[in-house]
Amino acid sequence: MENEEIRKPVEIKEKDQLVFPGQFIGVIEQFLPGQNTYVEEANIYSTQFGMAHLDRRGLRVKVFPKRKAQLVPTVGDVAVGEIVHASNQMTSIAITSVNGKECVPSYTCLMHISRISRKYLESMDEAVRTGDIVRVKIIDAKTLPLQAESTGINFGVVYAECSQCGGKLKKIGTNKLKCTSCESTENRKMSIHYGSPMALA
Amino acid sequence: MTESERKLINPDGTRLDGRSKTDIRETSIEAGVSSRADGSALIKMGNNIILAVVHGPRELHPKHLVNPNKAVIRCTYRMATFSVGDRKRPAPSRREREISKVMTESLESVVLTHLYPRSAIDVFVQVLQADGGTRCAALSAASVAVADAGIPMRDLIAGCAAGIIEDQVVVDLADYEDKEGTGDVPLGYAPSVDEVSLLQMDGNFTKEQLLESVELAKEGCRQVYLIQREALKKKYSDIREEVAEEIVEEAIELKENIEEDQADITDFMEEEEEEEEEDFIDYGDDDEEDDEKVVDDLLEPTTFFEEE
Amino acid sequence: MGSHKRIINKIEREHIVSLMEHGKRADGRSLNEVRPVKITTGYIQKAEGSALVELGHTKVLAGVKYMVGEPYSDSPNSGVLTVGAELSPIASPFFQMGPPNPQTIELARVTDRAIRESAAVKFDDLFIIPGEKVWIIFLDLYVLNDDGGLFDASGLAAMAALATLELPTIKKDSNGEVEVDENGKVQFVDGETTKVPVNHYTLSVTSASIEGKIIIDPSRDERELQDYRVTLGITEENQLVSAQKGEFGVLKSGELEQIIDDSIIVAAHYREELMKALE
Repeated sequence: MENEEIRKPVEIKEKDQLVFPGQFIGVIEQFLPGQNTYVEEANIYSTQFGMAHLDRRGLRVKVFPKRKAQLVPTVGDVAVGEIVHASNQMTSIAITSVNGKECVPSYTCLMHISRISRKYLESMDEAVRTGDIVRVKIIDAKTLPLQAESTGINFGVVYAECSQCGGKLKKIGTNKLKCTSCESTENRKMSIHYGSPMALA
Repeated sequence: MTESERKLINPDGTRLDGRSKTDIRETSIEAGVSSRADGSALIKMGNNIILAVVHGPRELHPKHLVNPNKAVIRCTYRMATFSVGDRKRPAPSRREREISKVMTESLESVVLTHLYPRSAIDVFVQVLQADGGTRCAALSAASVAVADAGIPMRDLIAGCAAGIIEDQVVVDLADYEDKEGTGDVPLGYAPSVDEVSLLQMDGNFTKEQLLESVELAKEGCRQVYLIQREALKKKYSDIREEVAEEIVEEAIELKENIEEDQADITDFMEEEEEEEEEDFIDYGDDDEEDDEKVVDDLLEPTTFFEEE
Repeated sequence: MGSHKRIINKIEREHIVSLMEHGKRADGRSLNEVRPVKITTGYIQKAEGSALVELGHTKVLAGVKYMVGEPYSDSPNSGVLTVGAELSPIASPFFQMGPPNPQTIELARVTDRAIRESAAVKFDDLFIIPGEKVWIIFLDLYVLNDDGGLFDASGLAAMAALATLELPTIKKDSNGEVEVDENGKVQFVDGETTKVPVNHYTLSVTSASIEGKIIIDPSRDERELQDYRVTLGITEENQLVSAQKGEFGVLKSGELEQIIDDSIIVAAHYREELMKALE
């Protein structure tokens, strides 16, 4: 068996074709290289195991992967993590799940006070405290640590413990929580998913 | 010893296990065997049983190893204590560390690491049973596991060894051929882009023999490569069958729902019609015969539905 | 490991506890139901005995190797059993490479105790020359996929591997003396093996308590939530040979009795599966 057999290009016609990493798809005179392909010496290869697809005008070829490595957070991803530190201006979050998928070890993520809520906040204590679990949206993934925001009803604190006694906090208003054991009330910027397993999805 | 004196090649040119010079051992690869890993593959090559798993891309710890431009690949090769004849000590040996290093470098050449800057891609390979050529089989399994994790690659790496037994170059040495033969060339090769990314050699070779061994090992790699593709394809088709079954079930459910809805609608419309008739009759006719007829009409649909 | 998972589970905890109050569990089992067991014996031909056990998604591979060595001075006639375990990143992304951590050592020792205390294998028979040469048996456990229930799966794998253990037959001369070469090496009969008799089929059963509710065979998610767990080693005569309580929770009176009753039933179920696999 010669390499020519392995390097035989897949025939992409009307139907999508199954391709493997390193599969020779064609030369750049035939198509434009699209997503999940790469070009080497004017040859187009697939980088993924998936379906090769030619766009409607028959110009650009791209590959839809069957499995996608999703663990690196990108802009717009929904992440859940614990507040490890809350200073005056910045909170630091240890992200433990991105888009419902667990990540080990956790990603470090920062959130500025202006990004927590649409409302003006006097201090961080009004919105989040150390130890809270928050649901956030990634807004910058180009640099590390990541940057996040929690504006919008879906985002914000999803689980918190009483800062006085460590007891369970129950939601009593849009932004108010009451401790079930010491009856003290606290303010948080809460998500509508507070206390629900839906928060992790 | 008698073993070293025995002939490794039969008079008819076949080897002791019946293979020809260019045949690789019976090989099977299964992708996606571990539920806890992002990607995984189990290879059985001859009597080798090797499990490879991939975790990542994920955040890299310790932080000083972070490369701001690309992902760092860390490959670890370990052997189980019971994988070889005499029990292996559980602590990592120098051999295991060396193989980990060459495998890391080999995988690095095909994985598009620049797509995941500052991340780590961890590959772990556990040899459960060793039967010669483990680093090649491990490399084949590792690259299927990376592809199974959905990490973009330039090509799959296939691993296969060639070597010299009784002055003849043969492919994919089994354990006894490796020990009793005179040389061994493990090779990691990406057939589609035509790149050799792992090359080691021990033994006594002339220039011609080494070049011939490499060519023969490449030939073996191509055979492994097709099995690797088959493994990925099989996993995909399994998923597709599951999905297809789900779709069929959903379609049946949907059809039933639609039928029920339609039955409800016809029911409702007929009732409406009846009511209209009733209304019409109530306001516009006093004839008793017609009233009886109406009663018959009212009964008819009921019997019709009972038959259904 | 596991610290971050536990934080996330605070949210799920209430849900799981409320399910358990209705006698249900997150994966659809009832409180004293175990996951499906699959045992493959003789998975590794190079090992003298081996077994691959799948408990749900959990996979544990056990393999036995032997060595001829000297006995301990306090028991000159009995063989030596060493149990090792490995929790490598193969099993779960939480585990790290390196020397065995306390969790790994606990797994190996709990499995070891159940076998040793019940004398599951006749160690007294594992001598070659009394006081001089005995069999040293290495039983190594490799966790290939960790989805909870490691103690139960390891116990099953260890017992299945020991039950299939075959040691080389020792060469004896006409007087019944063991043949030894000039270096003091024991001679074996080529290609012949002898089965090692099994005394007891001892198996480990793990229960866990979450807010006072006892469950059998906790899965990975339940393991993160458990207040405490109790692993019991049980023989086929329902003798209890080992126990290990783990985690930070504490047992209340009456709970242990319930755990023992449940565990005995489950041990019988595991043993049935093991016997099926050994046939």
